[in-house]
Amino acid sequence: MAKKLVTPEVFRKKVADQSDLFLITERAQGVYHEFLPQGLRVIKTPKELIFPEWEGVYRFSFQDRSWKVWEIETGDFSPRFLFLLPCEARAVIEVLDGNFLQKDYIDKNYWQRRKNLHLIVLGCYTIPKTCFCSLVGGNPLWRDGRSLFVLPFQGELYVENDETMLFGEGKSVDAREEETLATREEELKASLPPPLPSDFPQKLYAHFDEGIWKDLSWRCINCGACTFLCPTCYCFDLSVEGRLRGLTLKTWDSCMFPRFTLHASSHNPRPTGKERVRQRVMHKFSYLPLREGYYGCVGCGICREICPVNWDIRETVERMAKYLG
Amino acid sequence: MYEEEIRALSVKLLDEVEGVIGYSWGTLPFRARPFLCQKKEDVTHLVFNHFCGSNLARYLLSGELKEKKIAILAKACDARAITVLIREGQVKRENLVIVGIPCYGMVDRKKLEERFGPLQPQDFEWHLDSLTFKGENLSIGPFLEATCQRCLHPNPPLYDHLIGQEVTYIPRKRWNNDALTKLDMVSREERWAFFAGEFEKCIRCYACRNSCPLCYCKECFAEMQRPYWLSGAATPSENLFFHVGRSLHMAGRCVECGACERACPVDIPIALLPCKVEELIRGNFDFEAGIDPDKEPPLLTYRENDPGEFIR
Ligand code: SF4
Ligand code: SF4
Ligand code: SF4
Ligand code: SF4
Ligand code: SF4
Repeated sequence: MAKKLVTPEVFRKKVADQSDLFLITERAQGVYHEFLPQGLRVIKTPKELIFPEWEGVYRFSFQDRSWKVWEIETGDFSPRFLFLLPCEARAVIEVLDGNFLQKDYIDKNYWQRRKNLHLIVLGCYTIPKTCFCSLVGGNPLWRDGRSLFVLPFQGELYVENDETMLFGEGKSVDAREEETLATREEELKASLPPPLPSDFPQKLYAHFDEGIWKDLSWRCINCGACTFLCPTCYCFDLSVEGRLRGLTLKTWDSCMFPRFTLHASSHNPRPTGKERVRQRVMHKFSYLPLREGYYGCVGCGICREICPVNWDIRETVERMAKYLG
Repeated sequence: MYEEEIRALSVKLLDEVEGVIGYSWGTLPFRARPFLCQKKEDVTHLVFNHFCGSNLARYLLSGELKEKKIAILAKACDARAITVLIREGQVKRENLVIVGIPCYGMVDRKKLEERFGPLQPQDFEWHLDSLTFKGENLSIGPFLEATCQRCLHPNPPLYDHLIGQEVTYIPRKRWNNDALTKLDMVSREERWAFFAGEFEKCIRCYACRNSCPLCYCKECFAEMQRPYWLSGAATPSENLFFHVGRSLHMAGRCVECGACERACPVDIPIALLPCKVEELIRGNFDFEAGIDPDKEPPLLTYRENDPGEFIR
């Protein structure tokens, strides 16, 4: 793995010179603004680049007494580089890729967008109050070992995996520096709150019917804001627009909405907030870890930040963990 | 503020009601949150302060509480929303014990951050209409949420018990910082450009609608399939259609509480639209939603002898 040190001046200049290649998430911008030039395109959540709020899936029309259907293909995307925080990167690499790029099914349009999107993971050197990545298997310096990784270090920027010299040649990291870095990383990890118990997903699963869910869910008004900005939430709806001519539209959807599970018969298996909130917690903290081996929550805390009524996912899982013992 | 009074009253009320809907401190600094107090020993969690923005009337609509006898803490805008819900047959007056609370306005965390940088709770002291930051006393006006800065009714119009003393000034006059007036003053083109920019940002999560205490339709026009009013694609023009549509459904019903704006995860000042409609209704029909329960809402009323020809 190539490791080097780049001065902040060179780093800023290199980014400024190629600024149309780069995008940055709002949260990464909040942490790293002093190292970056102004004017980069800022996005709310990484998912909007690869799994947009809405897109057409296919068009149809009824002509000459027969139906014609065309798939809507996303064109080619030129390579882009996205600056994002470790938790956001994990959301893309583990959860979104895990969902849309499965062994037996690849979402074509997702892959079109994803294959040319290169992630630049910015290590967190300050930890926002709302974060809890260490509870769900992450940490402020998490990276997948392949993506570019950047971290401020002794007045310079430490960079991993910059094969294409995006940030210049830099100077290579010597053995002592490498050791210092490793020690700091170990110290940092040791200072973080411990992960949830490894049997938490299993225990949660077994407590689907517990009365405590009513209490845990009361405050949430099912507004859905959290799921729209959550970097891992990937649920979508398909609706048909038009009758004899039109398109099938794919839009973000949310398990917080009553309509999410409304059957055509008008029966709704998740009739109240209790079932809906339980689903959101269960999907992220039980079903996904049991089925896929990773949590559906990366602990970024954006939902805690924006929830209008301070319904708090960290508080909820910690309370649940304590309750389940 | 008023904690002693609120807690003492709640202990008494819990003898006759299933629960008291109020506020407790949140899990993060500068946040209070809705709290359902059902046990006397829990009343110590009840608080009231400048971070109690959530409109509690929203909680009366959840199935659980609908048929039960409940006490609810109500700022002026919560009480107005409750009044509209009663008028529209959504909740029963006899099931409610309304604990009115005069309101000095809710503080917008973002405005505090803009002024003071990263916030530390210990740097602040809070008073009714002022705050102390590291020993310096400042008026609370500039830090209030936009809807609170333009508030005309700080005292609840409907209550069974009143906590504290009535507010003796009209916030809109005192703070003289009405976001709507500012928008009214610019040219049509500038106003259009402003809203076009905002609707570009909207991701159609519907959090604005879902947190509104008065948007309670089982099936909202925005998601109807037949008729198909608008597309689910969050394009600026469809977003505009949704928000204009919603504002019209709120006409003469919106209580200007700002719940929609508070919920918006992408910071669109979306309350401007329904508030503008309320302003027009105030001017044209001399009517304000949720103030007088006996006054007929002009846009929800039909008369055979209506002077307007287009209505007959
Ligand atoms: S947790 Fe908060 S943001 Fe999420 S749906 Fe519930 S009220 Fe809305
Ligand atoms: S902290 Fe909230 S927003 Fe972030 S991944 Fe977990 S559920 Fe999603
Ligand atoms: S949760 Fe916070 S500390 Fe952890 S990676 Fe994300 S931003 Fe960094
Ligand atoms: S809450 Fe904001 S982003 Fe969501 S639909 Fe309303 S205006 Fe749009
Ligand atoms: S926008 Fe209109 S249709 Fe939708 S919930 Fe509100 S009042 Fe009902």
